[in-house]
Amino acid sequence: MSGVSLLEQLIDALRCLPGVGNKTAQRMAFQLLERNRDKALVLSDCLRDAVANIGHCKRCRTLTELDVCRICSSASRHQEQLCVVESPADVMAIESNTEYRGLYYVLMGRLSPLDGIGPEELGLEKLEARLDQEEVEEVILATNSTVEGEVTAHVIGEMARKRGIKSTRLAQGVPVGGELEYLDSSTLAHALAGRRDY
Amino acid sequence: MARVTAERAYLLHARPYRETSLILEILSDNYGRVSLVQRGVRSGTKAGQDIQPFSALRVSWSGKGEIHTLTGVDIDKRYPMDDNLHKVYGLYLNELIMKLVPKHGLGHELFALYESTLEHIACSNIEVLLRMFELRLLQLIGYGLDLGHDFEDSAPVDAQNTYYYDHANGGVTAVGRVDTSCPVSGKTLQVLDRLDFAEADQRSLKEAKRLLRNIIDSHLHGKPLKSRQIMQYLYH
Repeated sequence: MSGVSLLEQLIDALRCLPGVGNKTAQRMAFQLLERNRDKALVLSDCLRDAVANIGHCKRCRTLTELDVCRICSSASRHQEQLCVVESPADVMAIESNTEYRGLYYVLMGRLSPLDGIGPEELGLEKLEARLDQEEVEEVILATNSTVEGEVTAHVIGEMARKRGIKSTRLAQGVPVGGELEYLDSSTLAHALAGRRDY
Repeated sequence: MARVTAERAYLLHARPYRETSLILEILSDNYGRVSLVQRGVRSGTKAGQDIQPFSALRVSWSGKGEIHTLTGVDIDKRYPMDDNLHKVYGLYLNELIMKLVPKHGLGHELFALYESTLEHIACSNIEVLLRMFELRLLQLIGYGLDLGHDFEDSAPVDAQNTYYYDHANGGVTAVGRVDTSCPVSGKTLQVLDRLDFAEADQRSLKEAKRLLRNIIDSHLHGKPLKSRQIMQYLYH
């Protein structure tokens, strides 16, 4: 038996969450124990179930408790469009904010040599297999607009090109509500270079 | 190094640190490779997020010890690196520096080499540019190579002969008792020794690439270069 009380253990455990320091963890622990014991139980059940059951979708690798996630198994999604993103959070962002109706492939990272992530670590051969086996007509490169994200997009773009599949990259430009005067110079340069007929 | 102001630098790598900070590895003009912590960048606000590799920066920092604190950063000049393939090459330069150059080692010379290599990425023969960078980097970190002479008898290399590189001696010899897996022609060695690729043909370029890869690998002690794997993946 260690000398640490259960309460302290709980506070310490809560600190593993992003944005939660000691003080916040304390407040959370007291809230759960003093006022919200029922919800605390719901939370603990949910956590246990989620960790035990949620894995990666066999097709797109996003997080799901199913073998194949709902998006991948939906008959109404466009099977010929494949949007390649870095993380499950990106899938959620696109799903909740856009009208996109195609499928996804989640890389769970990006090529980043200095973090030790090369083509092998990123599992690009799985994506290659998918491009080979399925009737993909367009690969949408939706990796982040960082150097590593651009390099990842380039490599996957080449992968698609070798197979005669069209690849497209998310447009870069002026954000909605943005003022040109305050835009950083590379975004502005991209926006100007990528201007469209109007 | 208590306080440094508006030092010219390039970002080599950034990695998350704690909740909202980044650890930046930079290559500076006068202080070599330096690690800095940049606080409060990942809190969802925009400030500071647009510092990316390959842009010329002016960086200020303070503090003692191994990791200093970034106090200011301005972008001097953004690199017009529009071709993403160039970014792959750029990441290769960064990885070589991070893995071969010790912290705080090499000041201005390495910085000048890196900067001029970046400037030429878009407009030169990339293979030649990378070989020159590799050779100069090896020289700068003290693994100077004598590729102009046979280390056994000090005779100048003969363009007609075949030579073998010996890691223990850091040189080449025509006598095949060393590792013979990487033969290289005297002609290629002359090119590398004079740093003059004007006369180099495709075969020489290939041999030079293989030789330098061999030498670099021996200094990395088995650590793989991920950016090289990306290049190989692109060209397979």
